[in-house]
Amino acid sequence: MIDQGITNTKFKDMLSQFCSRQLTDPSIRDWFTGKIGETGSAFFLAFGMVNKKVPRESTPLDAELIEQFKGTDPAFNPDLWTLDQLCRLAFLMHLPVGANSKLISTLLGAADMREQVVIYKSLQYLDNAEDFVLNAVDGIRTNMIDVFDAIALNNSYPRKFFSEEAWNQMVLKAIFMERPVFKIVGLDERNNPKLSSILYDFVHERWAAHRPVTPELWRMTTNYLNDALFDDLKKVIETDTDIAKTVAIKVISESNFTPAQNWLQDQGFSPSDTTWEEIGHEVWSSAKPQG
Amino acid sequence: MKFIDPHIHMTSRTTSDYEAMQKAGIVAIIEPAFWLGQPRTEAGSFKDYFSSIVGWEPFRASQFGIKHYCTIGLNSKEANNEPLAEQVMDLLPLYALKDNVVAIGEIGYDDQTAAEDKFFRAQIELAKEVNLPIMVHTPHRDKKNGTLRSMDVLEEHGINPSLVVIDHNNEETVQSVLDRGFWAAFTIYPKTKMGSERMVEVVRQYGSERIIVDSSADWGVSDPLSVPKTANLMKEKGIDPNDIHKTCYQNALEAYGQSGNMKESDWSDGVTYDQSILYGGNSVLRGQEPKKSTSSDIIEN
Repeated sequence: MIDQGITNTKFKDMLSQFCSRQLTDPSIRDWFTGKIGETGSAFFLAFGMVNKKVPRESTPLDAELIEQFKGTDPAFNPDLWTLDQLCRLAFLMHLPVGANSKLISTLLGAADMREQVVIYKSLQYLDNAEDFVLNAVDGIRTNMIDVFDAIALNNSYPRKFFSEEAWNQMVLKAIFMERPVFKIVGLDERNNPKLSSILYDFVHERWAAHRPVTPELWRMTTNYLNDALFDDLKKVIETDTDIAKTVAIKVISESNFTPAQNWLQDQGFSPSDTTWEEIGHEVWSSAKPQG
Repeated sequence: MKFIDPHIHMTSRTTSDYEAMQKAGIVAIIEPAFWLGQPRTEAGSFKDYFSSIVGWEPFRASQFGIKHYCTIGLNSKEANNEPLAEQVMDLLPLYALKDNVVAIGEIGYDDQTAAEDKFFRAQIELAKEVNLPIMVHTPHRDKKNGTLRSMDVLEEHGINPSLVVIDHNNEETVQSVLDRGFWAAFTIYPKTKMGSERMVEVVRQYGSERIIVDSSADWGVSDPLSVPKTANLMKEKGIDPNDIHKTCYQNALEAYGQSGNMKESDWSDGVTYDQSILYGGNSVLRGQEPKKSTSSDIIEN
């Protein structure tokens, strides 16, 4: 507990120092350092003013700072953070624990899209991250894609803090909204039989409506194959796209369902060593932009 | 030709409107905070409305490739409920700094009551404090006096007229607005405001300097294509293309660009809600693909 506190103080200070070094305009740098640790309306105003004062550029992080981020979130990707977002994270991290719950809930209630995105990306780095589960679960109900993505993709928060029910809703909604599922952190670790069964129903509902399903969803059935799912995967291998076929073979070969594995051997299919990451990239690079 | 509609209440409009607007060449819009037909009785209703025009509506617009901005303010009509208006005033600083806010507005007079005057002045001061342009709503009734009074008050507060758009002008008000250095916006809205033919004559007479065309389309009988339609009519009637460009695009950009939040680069490379991709589930994008079927009774699956 004490160690955690010290680590986070170091992280917080390192982050705010990094941000102030990046702010080349001295008046903006002074403004930023002066507002760190503010609460109440001064905090709201400072958080809002980032919009006007700090450039929205990506900025190369120090190796040391990246290490701090990765201490909390092993999936941390520095390319996904811009300077204005890092400054806002610094403001959020310096709020006093306890008081921050109400302040951040109020902030979310009046946040624009860009603010919502950074708040949801930031929650996992707060000392009392677990106090914000309801905010994050509620955030998942949005239909604003950027906001949904900020919680569901490249974010370790749901992996650590979501209940099974909330996790399953998030994954299902990601599939429903046609988001790149492979970017969800903890997909295999948090997988569960209930999700596999929900996805089975989802697939049949889609097929009944003559609609396709994303091949990525079969990943979540891997540990729970049964006769019915095996039939579906055979159908995929026979009738679906090449990438879906690769997925179906991979799922069967990585499953522990013997009848399916025997069938795979009889058919002469060799186990696929394509990673889910590679599959995800292929699925989403071939999807055509709409609009 | 590309257009900006710098005054339109999309909260009251449908996705078909967005589709039609995109097709007609509208690339950016401004949604001023206004009343919704039904008077609000709780500050929370204002809060959620403001949140919607800084959050949900920009997302909705982006799905149709349109860049959405808004103005934040307490409208004059609802300023008359003073206890509520005080609470709304407390909300405004929270929203005035948001990403897509390009002005404080639409503010000004409706009945020209004392309460309206009080909150108009308070919001002029707010605009000064947060360094934003002002969008002024001029009244439907007693318009000429209301317009002159609005300008007097703005001058009294030391506002630079180049930071103010006076909206809903007509032939009777335009000269004084231009003479005093303000931007003069015209609303092409059937019956109550301007028809497009009158607008053509205004541009013919006054030129395009500081003149702006908008639709103010809302929940009433109004037309979200007023700006492109008026531009087409101007072209038909022989107005110089440069004047069309200025009144239906460039002037709005220059006036509201002074906020620092509105730049041509926001839409010149296309507007996206994200990097993205297919979105066929429960999104507003459903059915947006070109219709392949010849029967109008077939709804896309």
